[in-house]
Amino acid sequence: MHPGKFLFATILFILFQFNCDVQAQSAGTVSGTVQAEDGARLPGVSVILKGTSTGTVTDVDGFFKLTFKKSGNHTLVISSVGYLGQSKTITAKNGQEVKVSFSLKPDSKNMDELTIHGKTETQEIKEQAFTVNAIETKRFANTTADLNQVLNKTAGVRVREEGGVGSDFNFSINGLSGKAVKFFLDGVPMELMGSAMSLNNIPVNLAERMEVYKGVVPVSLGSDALGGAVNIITNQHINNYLDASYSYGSFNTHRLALTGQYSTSKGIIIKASAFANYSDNNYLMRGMEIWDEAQYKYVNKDFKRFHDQYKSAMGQLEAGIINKKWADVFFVGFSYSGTKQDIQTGTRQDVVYGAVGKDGHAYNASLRYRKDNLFVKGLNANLFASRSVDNYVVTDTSSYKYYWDGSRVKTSLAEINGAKSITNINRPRTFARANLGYQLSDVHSFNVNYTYDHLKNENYDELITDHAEIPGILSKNIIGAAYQQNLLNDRLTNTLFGKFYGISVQQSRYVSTSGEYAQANDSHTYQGYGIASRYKVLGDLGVKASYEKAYRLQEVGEMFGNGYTVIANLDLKPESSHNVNIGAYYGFTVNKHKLFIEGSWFYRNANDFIYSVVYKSNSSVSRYENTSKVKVNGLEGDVKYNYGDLLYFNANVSYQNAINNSKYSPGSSGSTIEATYLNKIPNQPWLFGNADLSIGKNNILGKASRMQFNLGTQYVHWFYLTWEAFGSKASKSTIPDQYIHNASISNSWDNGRYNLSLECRNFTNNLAFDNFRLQKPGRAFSVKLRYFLK
Amino acid sequence: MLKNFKLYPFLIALAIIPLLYACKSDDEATPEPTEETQEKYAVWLQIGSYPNTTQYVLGTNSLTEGSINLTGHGAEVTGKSDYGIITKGGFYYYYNTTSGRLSKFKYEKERYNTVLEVPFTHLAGIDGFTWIDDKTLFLVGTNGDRDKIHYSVVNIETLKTTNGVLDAPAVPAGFKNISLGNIEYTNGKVFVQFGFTGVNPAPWQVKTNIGVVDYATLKYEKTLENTTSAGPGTNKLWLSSSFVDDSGNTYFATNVEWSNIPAKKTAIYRIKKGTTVLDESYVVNSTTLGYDGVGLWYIGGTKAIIKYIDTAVTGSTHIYAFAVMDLETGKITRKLSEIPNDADAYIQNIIVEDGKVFMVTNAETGKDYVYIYDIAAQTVKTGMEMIGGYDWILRVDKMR
Repeated sequence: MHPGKFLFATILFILFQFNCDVQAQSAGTVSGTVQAEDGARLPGVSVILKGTSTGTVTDVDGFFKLTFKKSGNHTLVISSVGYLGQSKTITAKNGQEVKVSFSLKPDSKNMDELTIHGKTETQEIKEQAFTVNAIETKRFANTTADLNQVLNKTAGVRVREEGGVGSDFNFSINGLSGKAVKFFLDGVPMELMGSAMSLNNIPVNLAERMEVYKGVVPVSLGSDALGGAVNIITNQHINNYLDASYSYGSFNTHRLALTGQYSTSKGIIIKASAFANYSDNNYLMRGMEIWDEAQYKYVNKDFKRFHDQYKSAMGQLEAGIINKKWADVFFVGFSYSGTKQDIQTGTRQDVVYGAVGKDGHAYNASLRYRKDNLFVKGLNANLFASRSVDNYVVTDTSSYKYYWDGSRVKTSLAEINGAKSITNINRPRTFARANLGYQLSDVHSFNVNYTYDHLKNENYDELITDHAEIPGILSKNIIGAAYQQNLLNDRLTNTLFGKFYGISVQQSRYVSTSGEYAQANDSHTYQGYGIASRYKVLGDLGVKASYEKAYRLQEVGEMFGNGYTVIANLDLKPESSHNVNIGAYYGFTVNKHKLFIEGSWFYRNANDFIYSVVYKSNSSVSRYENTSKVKVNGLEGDVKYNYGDLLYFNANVSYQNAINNSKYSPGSSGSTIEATYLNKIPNQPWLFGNADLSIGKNNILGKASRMQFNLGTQYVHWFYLTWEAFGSKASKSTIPDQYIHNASISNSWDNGRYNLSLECRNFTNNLAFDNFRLQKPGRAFSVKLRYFLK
Repeated sequence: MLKNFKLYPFLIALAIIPLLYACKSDDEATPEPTEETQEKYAVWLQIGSYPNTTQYVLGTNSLTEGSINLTGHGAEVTGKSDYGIITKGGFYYYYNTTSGRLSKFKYEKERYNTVLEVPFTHLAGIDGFTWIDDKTLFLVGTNGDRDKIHYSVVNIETLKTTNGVLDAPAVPAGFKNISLGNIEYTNGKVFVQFGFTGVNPAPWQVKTNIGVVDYATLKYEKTLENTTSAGPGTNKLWLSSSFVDDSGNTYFATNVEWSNIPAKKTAIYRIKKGTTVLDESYVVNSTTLGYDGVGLWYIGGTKAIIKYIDTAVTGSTHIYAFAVMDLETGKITRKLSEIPNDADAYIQNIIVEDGKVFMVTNAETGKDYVYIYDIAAQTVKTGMEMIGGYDWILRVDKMR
C-alpha cells in the first residue's frame, strides 16, 4: 500500500474508534488529579478502590483514571510516602465519568526522611544501578523535535547530523558510536521496523520515555551493544488515549504524528501509531563554491539546496487483550514504514548530487505475550517474535554533474561512482525474544533473556543482475542471565550478569580465479559479563558503579566480503570493550524547589574496531580488519532544577578524552610504535553541553490552560578534523564551535487537550556543522497543533 | 534559604550567555605570504588507522642528511587531494573525481595551497598520464561505463583542456571493461597500454594491448598486442612501470598486481626509437628476471630499478624488494638488499638526481630513512631520517 494511503486509513480508523468510544461506553469511570497543597501535581501516587485489587498510580501530571465494573458507591484511597493518606467516596453511574481531585498534606513524620515523593518512572530509572539517561518526552511533546534532537540534549550523547530532516547521522554514547550503539523500541531492536524507522524521523509524540544505557546494558535488551543502547518506550498505559499532532515549518517541512489506544467493550485493545514526515530541506547553504567563467575561478555564493526532498511514513497497528487468565498481555501487530529521499551531497558539501535517490520499504509482523506469576508466584514471562522484510534501493543513474546553482553538465559518469548503478538491498529477518524473570524474595531476583536473530543480507546492482549471487546469512543467539540482590532495606542493589553470544555466519564465497563459489560457514561464541551496583547513602543520595565486558559481533559482509570488491577475512574478531561507570546522584526538595544533580566518570577500553581497509592501497579490493583500539576517559554532569510547575532548568556538560590505543599498526611486526599512539582521536567532539529553561504558567489564556516558554542552547566545542599533533597548525582543518539556540512558546487548553505552539530553531541563524564542511540548517520556524485526549 | 534566592534572572542569564559568543565561520584562513623559497624535496606520509587516516606532505632541502618530523610540521593534504598525484616544476596536479575539479597545488613552507582549480568531468578518473612538453599534460581515463578510452590534453598554466575519445577497439565479447595504466609520449606518438577485464572475479584477457595515437591529429592508429603477460602496467600517479630512456627507446612493464590472470607473470616490452611496433627481439620476462615485477623506474644509461615480489618472504606483508636491472640484457645486476622490503606495491619510491637514486620504503623494523644508491659506485647508504613511526611513507618528490 502507498504510505500516504496507509497513514490516511490508519488515522480514519483511529478517529472512528474514538468516536465509537464516546457513544458506546457502558462502564463508569473516575478520573482526576492529585496535587500537593502548594498546587504541584504529584506523580506516582497510588489510587485504589477500597476493598478491591483495582487501582492505578498517577501519571507525571498527577492524573489518574479508573474504570469500575459495577455502579454504586465506591471509596477511593489515596496514598503516597511523605503525604498523609486520604479517601473519598463517590457514586458511579453507568457510562458516566466522575471527576474528583485530591490535595494532599505533607506527612511531617515522613518528611524527615525525604524519601520517595511519588517518584516518576524516569527518576526511578535514574536511580538504577546502571548508568542511564532517562528522558521523559512530555516536556517536548509540543515541539517539532524528533527523537534525535531530544536525545542530543542529554549528557554523554552526541548526534552528528549531515543535514536537515531525515539526513544520515552518527549517534555516539560516551565516545563510542556507529555499530557500537544499538537502538530498541520497547525492548526490541528498532531495525525490525525497517531502515526507514530511525531516530531522525520518529516524532517525539510517539515515545513516552527514552532510556540511554551507557556502556553497561541490561540483559533484557539482549544485544551486542558495545558502547550502549537507546530504548524508546512508547505509551504503555492501559487507558484509552489519542495523541495527534501536525506541524508545518520552514523548508516546507510537514510532520504528522498519531498514537492512540482504544479498548472495545469486548476487551479487545487496539493500539495504533503512525507518523509522516515531509521536507524539501531547501535551506540556504552559505558560501558555496561555484565556478565563475568570467573571473575564471571559483567564487563563494549562497544557494538553496535543490535536491534534498525527504519523505517518510510509518504505520503500526496492534490488536490484543490484557488481563486474561492465560495472558496479561497478548498482542499481534503489523507495521509498514517507507522512505523516499533525494541525496544532495557526498561526504563534503562541495560534492553536489542532483539526481541520486534512496527509496525504502519495510514490513513487519509481530507477536508479543506477557504473563506474570506464570505457574508460580513471582515468575514472569515475556515473549516477542517478529518477521520483517526491509528493502531499499539507491539509484545513481544520472549522466550529469550538478552544481550548487542547480545547473548541470552532461558527462559519461554517474554521480556517486563513475559507473551507473541501482543498488538493491533486501534484508529478510526473523527475530524472537524470551525473557523470564523470577522474584524469589524481596532480596533475590533473577532474569534470563534469550534472543534469536536471523538475518539474510542480499545486495545487488539491478543494472547487472536481478538477484544477489552471494547473500550472507547471519544468525545470532544471545543468552543473558542476571541475578539481582536488594540488601540493607533496598539501599544496596547489586546486579551480576553474564551474556553468551553465539554467532553463525554463512555465505557462498568466491574462492578461485575460475569464478567458482564455495559455501563458507563459520561460527563463534563469546562471553561477556558485568556487574552494576548502587548504594543509597541517603534516600535521595546514591552512588553507583557498573562494569561490563561488552562485544559488538562481526557482520557477514565484514567476515566474508562481497565476493568481488571486498575480500573475506575469516580471522576477524568481534569488537570488544571494557566499560566502567562510576557515578553519584543527589536530589532534594524544599517546598517548591526541587533539585537533582548527577555526575559520573566513565572509562571505555575498546579493542579491535572493525573497519574496511583498502587491502593494497589503490588496488580495487578492500577487506575488513580489526584496525584500532581506543581508550576513552570522560566526565559528565547534569543538573535539573524546578520550582513548582513554574520553572524548569536543566544543564549538562560532557567531556570525553578518546585516545588512540593502538600501539602498532595492523599487519606490522610490532617493532615500530605508531606515530598516533596515545594521541587524541580526531574528528570527534570532546566537549559539549546543553542548557534548557522552561517557564510556564497556568490559566493565562483561559481556565485549564497553560502557557509555556522554552529556551534551549546547545554548545559543541570546536575540534580538529585530523590528528592534532601532526602537520603545521596553519594547514589544519577544524570543525568550528557550534552554538545553536532554540526557542518555543506553546499554549494548551482544556488540561492539555488542545495545544498550539510556535517554535524557532537556531534563532541566531548561526552556521552549524556537525561534520567538516556539511552545513546544517540555519534559522527555521514552525507551528504545531496537537490534540491530546486521555 | 533557597526561597529568597532570585533564580530567574540568574538562569536566564546563564541560557543567554552563549548567544554572546555565537558566530564563528568555517572560512579557512587565507595563506600568509611567505618570503622563503620552496623546499627542494617533498615526502608524503600517512598516519592513523582507518577511519582516521590522514596524509601529509612535508618539505626538506636535503635528502642526504638530517631528519624530518611530522609533529607540528608539514601540511595536511587529506580533503584536498591524496598521494595519487602528478608533479612537475614544483606543482602538483590532481583530479578530484567526487567534486569534479582539476586542481593545481603548491607545497611551500608548511602549506599546501590551491593555485588554481577548474571544473572537470571528462574522465572517470586519471588512469594514466604523460608529458607532451613542460606545459602540456596528456591524461587518459575511461568513461563512466569503463568501456571507452577518453583523453584530455591539459595546459598546466590555465588548466584548460582539450577533450576527446580515442577510437580504440571495442571491448571484446566475454569482457566488460577497459583498464588503463602505462602511457608514454615520444617522437610525436602517444603509446597507451591497456587490458580488457571481466566482471570480477572473472579473469582478465591474457593479452597486453598498446594503442598508438598520433599526437598531432589525436588519431588512434593501431594496437600492438602481446600475450606474454596481461594488463595495462601501472598508473604513474602511484608507481612507475614505463619510461622513455635516454636513447629514445620506450619500455613498458606489466604489473602482476594490477591484473587478474590465472598465473601471475611479468613482461617488459620495448618500442625502439622512431618505430611504432613492439621490438619482437626483446624478450624480458619472469624467466629472464627470475621474479615478477610491480614497478620499474629508469635511473639512466641502460639501468633501471625494478620493484619485484620477493618470493623468499613468507608470513609478512613486506614482500616488495628492489634490484637494479640492465635493460639491454633483461637481467638483474644488483639486488638492493640494503634497502628494506616495502609493504605495498603502490608507493612512489624513487627519484633520481645527479647520478644518485633517492629511495623511500616502508620498513618492517627499525628506523625510516631515505636510502641513497650511488649509480656509478653501486653503493647504498642511508640519508635523511623520517622520525615518528608513520604508518605509510607514500612518495618522495623533487620540487625544484
